[in-house]
Amino acid sequence: MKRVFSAFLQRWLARRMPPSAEFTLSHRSIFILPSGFGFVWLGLVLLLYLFGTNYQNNLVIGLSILLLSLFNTCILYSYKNLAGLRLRALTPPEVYAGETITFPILLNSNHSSHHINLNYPNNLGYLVKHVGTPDEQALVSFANQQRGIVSAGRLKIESTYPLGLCRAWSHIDLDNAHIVYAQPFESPLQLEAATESGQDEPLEQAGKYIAGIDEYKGLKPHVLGESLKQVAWKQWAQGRGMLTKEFEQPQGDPVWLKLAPTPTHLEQQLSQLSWQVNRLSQLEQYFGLWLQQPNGEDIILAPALGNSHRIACQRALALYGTHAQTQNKSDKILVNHELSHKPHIPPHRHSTHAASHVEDRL
Amino acid sequence: MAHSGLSQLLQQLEQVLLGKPWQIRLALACILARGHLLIEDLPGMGKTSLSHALAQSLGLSYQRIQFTSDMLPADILGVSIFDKHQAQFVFHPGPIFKQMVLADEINRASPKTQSALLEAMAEQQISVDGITHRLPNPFFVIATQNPTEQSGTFPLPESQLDRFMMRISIGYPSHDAELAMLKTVQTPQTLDNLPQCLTPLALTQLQEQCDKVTASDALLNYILALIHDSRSQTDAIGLSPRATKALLQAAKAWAFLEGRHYLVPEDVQAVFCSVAEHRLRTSSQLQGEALSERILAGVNPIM
Amino acid sequence: MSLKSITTAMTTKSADQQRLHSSKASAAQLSAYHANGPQTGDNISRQTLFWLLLTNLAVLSPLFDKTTPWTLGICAICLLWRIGIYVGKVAKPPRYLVTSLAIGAAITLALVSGTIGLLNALVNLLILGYALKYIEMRSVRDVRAVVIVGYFLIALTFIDHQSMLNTVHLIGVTIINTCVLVTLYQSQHRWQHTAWIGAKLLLQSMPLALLLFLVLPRFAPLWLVPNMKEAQTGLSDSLAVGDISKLTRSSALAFRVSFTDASPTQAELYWRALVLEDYDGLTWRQDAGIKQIQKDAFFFPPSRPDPARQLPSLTPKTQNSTSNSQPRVYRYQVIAEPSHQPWLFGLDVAYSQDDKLVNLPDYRLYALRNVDQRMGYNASSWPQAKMDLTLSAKQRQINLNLPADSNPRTRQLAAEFKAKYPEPHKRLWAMMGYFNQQPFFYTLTPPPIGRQQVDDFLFENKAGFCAHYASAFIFMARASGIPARMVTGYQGGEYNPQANYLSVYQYMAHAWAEVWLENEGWVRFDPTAMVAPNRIEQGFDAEFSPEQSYLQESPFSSLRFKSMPWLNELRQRFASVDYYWSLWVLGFNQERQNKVLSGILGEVTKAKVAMFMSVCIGLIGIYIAYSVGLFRFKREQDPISAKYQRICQRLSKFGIARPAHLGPNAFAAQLIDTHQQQSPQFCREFDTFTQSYVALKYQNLADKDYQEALKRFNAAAKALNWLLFGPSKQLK
Repeated sequence: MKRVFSAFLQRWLARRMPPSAEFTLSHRSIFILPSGFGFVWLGLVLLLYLFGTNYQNNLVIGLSILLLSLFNTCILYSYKNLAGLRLRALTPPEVYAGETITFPILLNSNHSSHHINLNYPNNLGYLVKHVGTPDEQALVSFANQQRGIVSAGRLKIESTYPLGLCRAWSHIDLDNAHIVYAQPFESPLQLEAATESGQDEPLEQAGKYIAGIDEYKGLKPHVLGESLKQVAWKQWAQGRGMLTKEFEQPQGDPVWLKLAPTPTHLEQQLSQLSWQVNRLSQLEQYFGLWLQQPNGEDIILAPALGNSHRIACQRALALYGTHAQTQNKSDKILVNHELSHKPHIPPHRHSTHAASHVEDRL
Repeated sequence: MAHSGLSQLLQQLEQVLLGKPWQIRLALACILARGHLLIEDLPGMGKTSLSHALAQSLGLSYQRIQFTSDMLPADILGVSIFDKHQAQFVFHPGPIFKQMVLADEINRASPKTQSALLEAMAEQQISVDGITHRLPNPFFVIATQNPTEQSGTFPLPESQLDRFMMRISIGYPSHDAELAMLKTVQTPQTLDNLPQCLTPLALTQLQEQCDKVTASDALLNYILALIHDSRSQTDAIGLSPRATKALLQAAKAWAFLEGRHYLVPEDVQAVFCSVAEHRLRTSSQLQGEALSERILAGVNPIM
Repeated sequence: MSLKSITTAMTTKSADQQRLHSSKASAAQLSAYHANGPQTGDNISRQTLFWLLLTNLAVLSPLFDKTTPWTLGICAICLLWRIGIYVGKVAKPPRYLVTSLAIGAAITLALVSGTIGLLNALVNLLILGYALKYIEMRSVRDVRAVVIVGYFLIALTFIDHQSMLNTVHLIGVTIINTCVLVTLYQSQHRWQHTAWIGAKLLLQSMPLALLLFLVLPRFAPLWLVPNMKEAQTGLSDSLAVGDISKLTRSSALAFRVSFTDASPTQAELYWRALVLEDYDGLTWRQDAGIKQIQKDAFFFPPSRPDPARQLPSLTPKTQNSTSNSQPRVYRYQVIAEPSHQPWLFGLDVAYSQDDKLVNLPDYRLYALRNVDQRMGYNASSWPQAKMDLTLSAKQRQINLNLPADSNPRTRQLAAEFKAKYPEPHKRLWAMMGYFNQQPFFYTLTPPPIGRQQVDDFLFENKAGFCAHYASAFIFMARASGIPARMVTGYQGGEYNPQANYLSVYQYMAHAWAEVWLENEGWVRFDPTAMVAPNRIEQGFDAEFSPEQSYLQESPFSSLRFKSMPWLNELRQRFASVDYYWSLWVLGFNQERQNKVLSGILGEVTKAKVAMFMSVCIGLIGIYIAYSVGLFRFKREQDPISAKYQRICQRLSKFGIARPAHLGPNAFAAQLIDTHQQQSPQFCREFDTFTQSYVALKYQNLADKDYQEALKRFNAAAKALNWLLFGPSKQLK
């Protein structure tokens, strides 16, 4: 029964206040009822009325009526406090499953609004003391265990301003679904080379830049014993002392993180991959991500480096196997340009030409 | 026009860069507002001509630095060389010790070199071997940049972009302008022979007059509304307070060029895209330009 | 190729930096979040504590006279403690201490409740609870509880503080109490701001409250409630000769009367309050029988026939105006000041149909509850009606009873009178004449008298006031075999011409005699009138100078202004305001309610009242909604810009819409560009309009220039409106 009712309520709310990233509260969306204290207050009003009647004291009756009227005034104030309040959802910072998401929400209002409590169902509230014309940011937390696209549901905006007699509230859907990354789970790095051609160095080192000959990196003080070929003579001629030119080159072929899903351990595998993606990014290593799908095309992210690559990998992991991934529903959230469906051989960093060019200039 | 020298200057520049009066005004406003200018466009659009003509007409000492990928900071700032006669290191100032520096194709240089220039721009001084050298006054940098999509470029990081007051792009000339250009004969020599319209001293005075342009509360509120709107865009990081100041300063210079001693919203609107574009970091595909226009369209100046 | 890859490396690096930056930022955000973000629960702010302090003082101080010394002490300690906590010198008391204090106090109060009265004990308990809760306040919930109790204490204060000044004061206290709740939701820390919000809330609630006060139904008391034990003032049910002289030194108001039609003369104003029949030689007391009736009055209300029914049967035979066959009647309303006694006042023969009082068989009006607060009642008096045409044997015996062996000389005198005048009527007038013929002297400060009171007075001192004369007269009457009794009450009244009512003060207290005569019943004899006729005919002031009597003990009484005409008028004006206050606010009952409503609506029907209510509530709702700001959703705009916007809006009806982002100059340029051909005049005006708008908004003009620009702007706006909507519509 209760479930039927709440389902009905949800449908009704959705019809009345459809999801939107920006929302202005109005009479359509504000509900007001007396708070617990409000009922106590009404009790006091009744008590005083009886008291005044029994003592035939008009002033006591007057006081009780004044308090009743005050209650009425508070209803209007409560309404006005929320009416015209604008809420706008911002993108929350990245978050992993099992962590609490904090949704940043900007509030502003043309008049002042006071003491507004924002919370998601069954979560800690966030109290905004005062909202005026400049934006006020509220961080509303939402405890979440799942990866994938997580929607926090309807945000409850509540206020008992000005005297705590009535509770004005609203449930709005700010449409702030957020991608939650798989929970990182520490594991050994499981890297695979794209080509099985005999590579003797450990895969952990693959894809890193090492000292080499290809790319000019910069100058460093000369240490006795270094090859004289490397000395920057031009600089020496300018009287800047003996300097050595440094070069670097990427080492070996880029490596791949690969998911061969086993239905029973899928979440754990994803967690481990999530950790590895972060680790490799930390190590500034080139890597690609290859997610096999039993039914459907594999997801392949070309090897790359850096934060945007890490984010793309994490997103792919977060959405793996979820509805959203197959539907490709929220283009807004996905960074599509990094997700390609074709295996892509990483660009080799041949730059002998550039290096010689540098040499010439030096 | 507030100043005869200025109008003459504008006229002269319009003859160098045909059919682009708007860009010329922006560039001049940037200089009047004591800001550095970034010109971004494809090669051959007249970036260099504009800056050269500006320096020439303003009578500023001028140096062009062509940035390349192998350029080192010392190539710009200068080096200390051991002087055998005096038996000590003597500082040889680099090309940056000029009143107007044209940093051509700045995004060809390595980030290290770029940042050396940009630091010098910010502080108007440089430090080599622990000794601080002041740069001349006035000091302007006009940097040109090829669009990032072009190969072989290092895009300027956002933090560095903030140091440029304005970014403008020149764009292809109109049919008539291009026709006119083909008809006139212009050689580098003609650029060098441009008459000087203003002295550096006169320029400083003009800058001071720009500062005196008044901005009413209504206008400041308009600026703030724009800035505020930029900060609340979902797909961009908003404009910094430095940007706010730059916007006001640039708008004042624009109003001064318009011959007014007070600001109107149109001044702000005229410079807003150039000032804000390169500072709005977009996370989406939306270009800064489109964003700044969207912001402008979303704020009502009547308040 | 290589450069490109370096480029991507660069971007990713900078993106990394950015991430680092953003993670730092989010950490900062998180710490801020913990500092002020989530509901930090129930901490009571310092501002709230400050207002609580204020409230505590404000609520408790008017209740000062109701507290026992113990309560007062504990309250004081609590207050000091609280101030200590507020200043930060003292810690909060442990909970057990507070609890044990509360229990101890409750027990003590239960023990003393017998002596101070149940209601007083309860009030004290409430006060103690209030004070104690106040020091152990821990959460917002406690604050709310304290505020609720605060309102209740204010209501308690209203029970015996009902003057207008008191009401204003207590409304102030109510505001302060409300401010405590306001502080719970205020981020503003200035106390003025809080006070303003609190006052605003209450002021905005006033209109609805007034309306509800007018229309909400009034009921009779639903059950018997305990009374306050208070020091009684005014007449008491026993009279030792000399008591009244104490009253004559009081300038306090006893009651006020307004007559509906004709009002009696000064000499007729004998306000009967008590009938004293037992005399023990020293003190006059009420008879035990009537005392019993009074005691049971609430449960077995005594009754006596309405004199109106008795009168028409009477033939207008001997008394004054024979031409008028209609019996004389006075209808009046009395507002009795709180005396904490049940006696009410009426002219003979009084009858009232109010349900708050009963008509006692000795022709008095008697309140069912002590008059603890101002009490209004309606009464009618028939001066021609007779009292007790038959006298029961028991009554006769009571009213002839004299203490044995007392006052032998008086008894002898009475015997002489009896012998000389066998006819009772004549005998009584002879006795009255005795006071006139002998050198009796009317004074408020008579010499002391001994045990043989009447003898001493009649033969030694020959000086005294009403009680002496009445007492001596009754003694003589009884001694000569005529039933007689003492009546106390007030005589006279001060007329207030502004509000048309009489004020009766305590110093007008009086005692007179009543004698029972065959066929006439009880007849009033006032021997004082024989000695000091002015006292009766012209009022108290005619006989005594105020300084000697009622002003002796009240140096600040406004009655001092009686001698100064304009000040006296001012005094009376104040008095009338107070009178109206008593009449319309304190005495506002169902009857008055009906009167008011029928004044507004004509005949009062339920439907009409409902209509009236809903119309009023609607109006008040709109008023509050307006004052709350519900109708001002849009940002409050500068009037100049608003005018500009309005013109633009009107233009948009002609198809010339201003894009929202366009500046005024740009818009004007655009408009003039497109419409110059069709309507040059309009373009000219619009140009002026824009120019002056720009000047006003952006040019930081000096004051004089500003005014000029404003003039130009307004003129241009008017011209544009004319062009747009006038007869010659310029734009198509």
